[in-house]
Amino acid sequence: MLVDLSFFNISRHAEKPIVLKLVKALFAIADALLLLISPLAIIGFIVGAIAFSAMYGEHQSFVRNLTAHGIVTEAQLSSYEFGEPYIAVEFRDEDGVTRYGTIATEYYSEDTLLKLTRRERIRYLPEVYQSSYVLEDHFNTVKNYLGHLTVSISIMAISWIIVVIKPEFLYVGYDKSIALALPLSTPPEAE
Amino acid sequence: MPIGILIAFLLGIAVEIALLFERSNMEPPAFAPRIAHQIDQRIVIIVPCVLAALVAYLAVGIVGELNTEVSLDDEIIGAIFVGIGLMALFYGFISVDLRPSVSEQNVAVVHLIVLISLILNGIPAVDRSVSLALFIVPSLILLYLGISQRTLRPTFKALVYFWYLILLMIVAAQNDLGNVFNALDLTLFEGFTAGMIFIFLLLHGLFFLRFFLIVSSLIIPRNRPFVAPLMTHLYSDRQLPPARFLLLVVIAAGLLLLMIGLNIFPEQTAINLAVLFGAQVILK
Repeated sequence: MLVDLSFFNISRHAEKPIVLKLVKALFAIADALLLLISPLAIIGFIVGAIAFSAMYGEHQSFVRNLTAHGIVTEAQLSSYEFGEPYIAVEFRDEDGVTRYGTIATEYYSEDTLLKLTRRERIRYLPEVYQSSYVLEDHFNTVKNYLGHLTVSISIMAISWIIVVIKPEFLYVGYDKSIALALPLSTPPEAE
Repeated sequence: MPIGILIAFLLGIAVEIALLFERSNMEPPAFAPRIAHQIDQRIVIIVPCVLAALVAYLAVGIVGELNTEVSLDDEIIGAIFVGIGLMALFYGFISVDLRPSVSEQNVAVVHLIVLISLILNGIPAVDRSVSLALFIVPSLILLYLGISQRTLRPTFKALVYFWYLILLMIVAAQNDLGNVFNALDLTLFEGFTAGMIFIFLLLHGLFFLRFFLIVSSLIIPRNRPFVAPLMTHLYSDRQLPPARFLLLVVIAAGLLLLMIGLNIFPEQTAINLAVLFGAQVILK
């Protein structure tokens, strides 16, 4: 059934500009919002990059130390429930001292975690204050693990997209002519 | 780090700031005494710093504490480095004042030095052949830009400058800057150059993050005109004639290889000195 719209004075020809205006208005609002959050995105990118390098460096140093100085022994997995972030471990070190610590589960696949037995071979560092260990049979997985970087990479990626669309605030502080050209401006000069 | 070396390290930081201050043509603040406006800015900063370092070194020597180990956990040392960090944050992220402008010839010399260092040492955790392969195309482009006397468009200047920052980041990775404070057995001169390269790379490293965003935003053509005024601060169009440039490149590479070959300085110190020379002295 066709609806007669003539009563509302809306014809097919009049409809298009209204929709266009609406779309334009929505774009203008999105544009203004992006401009508003772009300084936060710049800070977000920098914080993400610093977090990325810190976490990557820390993991690499952990793996390097384990490779160079790690000791392999058999340990008892004293408590663990599937889904928990850590496995509690206890073992006797080279000096016969009982040590307690944890294995982070984030490195390993579900399949690996489901197949764990009460006793597993682990790799640990001799320093007593080091209480993070890894499963020896899956040490290569730990070496290549990048999952801990997901959050920082996501923050950097989202921030990057916003800044690429609205880069004006990147130039603040460098040159008065650039600062004055902000934010609702045409670019300072053509190349 | 022993206190004696720390004094040399801090002096290196101060001298490098003075050189960057002068190279960036930064004016002394309005409230500075009149004499500060009349004489060479380097002298205004370097002479008092050298005197202060000498007095501190002698004072610590008289007390017999030159070899006492200090760390960032010590309150005074921690406070000094927090101050340096805050200054680096400001001049690294926000201001261009402590960043010398470079030309493609500076970049070409730094590129050559880093290439030599890659052949000798590589980059930690990166395959050497891969890193060298990545250098082939930039090497050819920079050689061409260094010899040709043409002025680049701002967008290309930004790309060349970005490559320069990448080169400096490679030097930072080779230096293991995060552990510079725990470096063992440094001589006074090595401590001094470590301070210089530390602040130079820290300032450029922080700026690298911001400039990465700037360069990557250029993929949208609408953003490209924004970069032109910035590049006037960062990039110099001054060029040496091709023959002099090539001679300079040969001298820079020769001096570096000589320093390493004769074992005048440790290899990384020689590379650091050559990078500072390539970035700041050439074309001055």
